Amino acid sequence: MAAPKVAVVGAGLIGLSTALCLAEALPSCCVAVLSEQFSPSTTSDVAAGMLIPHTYPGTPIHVQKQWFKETFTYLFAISNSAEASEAGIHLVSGWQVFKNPPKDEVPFWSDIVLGFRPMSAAELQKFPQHRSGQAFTTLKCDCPPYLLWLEKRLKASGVQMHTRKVADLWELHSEYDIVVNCAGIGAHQLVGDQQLVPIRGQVLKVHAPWVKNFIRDGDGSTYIYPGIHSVTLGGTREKGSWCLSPDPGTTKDIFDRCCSLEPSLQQAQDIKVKVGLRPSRLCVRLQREVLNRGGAKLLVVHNYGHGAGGFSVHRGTAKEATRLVGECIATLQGSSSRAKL
Amino acid sequence: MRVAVIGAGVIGLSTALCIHDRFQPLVPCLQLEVYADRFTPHTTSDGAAGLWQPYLSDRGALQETLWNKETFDHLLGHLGSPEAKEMGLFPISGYNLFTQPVPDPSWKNIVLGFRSLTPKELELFPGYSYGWFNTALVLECRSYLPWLTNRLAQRGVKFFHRKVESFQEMFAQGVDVVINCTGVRAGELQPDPALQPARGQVIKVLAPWVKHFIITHDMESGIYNSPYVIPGSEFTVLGGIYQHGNWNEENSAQDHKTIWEKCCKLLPALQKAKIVQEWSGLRPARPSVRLERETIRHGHSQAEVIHNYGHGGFGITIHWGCAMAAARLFGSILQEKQLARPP
Repeated sequence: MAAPKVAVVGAGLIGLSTALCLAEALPSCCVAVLSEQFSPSTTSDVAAGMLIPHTYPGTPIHVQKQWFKETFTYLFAISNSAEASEAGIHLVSGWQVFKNPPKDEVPFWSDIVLGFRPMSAAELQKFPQHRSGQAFTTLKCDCPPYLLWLEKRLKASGVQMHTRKVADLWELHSEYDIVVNCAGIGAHQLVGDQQLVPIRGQVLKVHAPWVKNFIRDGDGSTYIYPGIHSVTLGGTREKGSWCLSPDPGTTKDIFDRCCSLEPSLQQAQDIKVKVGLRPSRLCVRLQREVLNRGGAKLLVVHNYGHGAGGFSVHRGTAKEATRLVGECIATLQGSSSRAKL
Repeated sequence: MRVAVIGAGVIGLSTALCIHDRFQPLVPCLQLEVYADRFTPHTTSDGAAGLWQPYLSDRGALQETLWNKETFDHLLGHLGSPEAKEMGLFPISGYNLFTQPVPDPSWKNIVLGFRSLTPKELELFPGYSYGWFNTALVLECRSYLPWLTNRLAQRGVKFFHRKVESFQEMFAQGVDVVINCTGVRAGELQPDPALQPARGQVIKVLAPWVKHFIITHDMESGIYNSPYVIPGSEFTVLGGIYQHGNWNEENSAQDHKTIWEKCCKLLPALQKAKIVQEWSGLRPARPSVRLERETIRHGHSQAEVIHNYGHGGFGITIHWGCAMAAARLFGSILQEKQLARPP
């Protein structure tokens, strides 16, 4: 049969990284990325891009750990290469501090990040309101640079990118054999997934280049993540809110909470406010589906619903989605040989 | 009582501030002056990256270890204050790398979170088989010296931009005590064969993705003759030159090549960094810091000099402990002159 035509819907982190995995693993395919938004206007562009996993209640821990390990290993190699600055990948060390004892003293990902250990009493003195903490070194993917780097690698691999709003996956059935649905929060409307809910996050991106370490409150609500050109201060977790406009009261609240963790942030300049809707689900929807209409078929692979943890697992879920696309291709080839008999 | 501080690097300015704040309330007639032929940004201190880190071995000078600790604790105490940014002070984590296991340094319990590197961390640094991780501080002199200068000016301390040729010159104009913070050129005021320049050269680049300091060590070539990378608030400093006895303050193309190639090998991501500036300076190297009183005959009377120089490549690291020690020596001078009661 002719080269399978694969459309990836969505050009955020998940769409672009999945498309790249496809181009690398299945060079016989013709891959295109279709999206209404591209960087810098995706949800991924708002996120700090820290590799600190979010735990999905609906996915076995060993699977999440495997995804995180694959992602960390992949990015670790890039961070140590000449491409690091262009790709926006860099190591960052810091502290996760707790007012109350954490549920997991030793999280499942502690042996994947570097140098994980409890904080010493001397280190905790810097955080008088917190009673315990963890110190470690992890990776950060700055966006837009990482997304732009993925786009560049995709173009070099012959992957076409089209700005196009897809209102219904079925509209692609005449042009493509397989559709990979990486629409993120857009899947709520695109495929009518009621289990997918937005968790609104507001962040500030500020100029404070003397901040070299990350600080995160273990309750997940307050964090300071130093990036290449700005420091991301966060945040909020507003379940069910679809509002994309920044709220000034929230801005002040985030700033105050972060300054209480790191007083030098009072001198931060050039404060920009951003909002993103985390595409949240009990588990990432990573599965195949066959759409049938009047005898015609469209093979779909879903890869969405990464919520607060997209960056931490993106390469792992992209590889799994690629494997599922491989299964789809085998199905297509199977039916096409049967058709010849 | 007139006190002249000679030298306006980190040692001179911090010693002046320490003496003023401790004794001006007790001795209202205290008049402090700072003399220097070079002020910020043209002092040796200005070229330093500003990382707080002593040498690996304390050279048997336990007092220096104590002064290092006093400096670290003093700076740590300023971290949460609104002054920190203006001072050029911020915490930073990073790596010390070795080609063989080494004993822990004297300062392991002074810095925060000191530990050995894990095997996975060492994968980042091919060619190095052992290392340390810790959190320390950076104090950038291009901010700290102006901060000290402002504080001194606010307190009415006068500054004189001129080269002092001798201690006698100061005494002849009525100065009672000279604080000698002249760094590498102290030998011009009083010969000191133990004091030698240890020339360094650095390249300043734009590499804001580098968030850690990385200091490599080659036990054979000696301290700071092995590549190092130290991020600042705006630029990242690349270095690794330590030339004992070299007085040349001009940049060397050969040293540039050495620094650039070795640092890019250490951190491949640096290949894309934009070079912004090159700088050379002379560390005032001495087997130990000269921090002591000397009584000098001046005509029919005696005048006092407090020496505070010879801080090598660890001036910022040790400066506050030395400033306080110099202030204590000053206190004993005041007591002898019955100008101040013992505290």
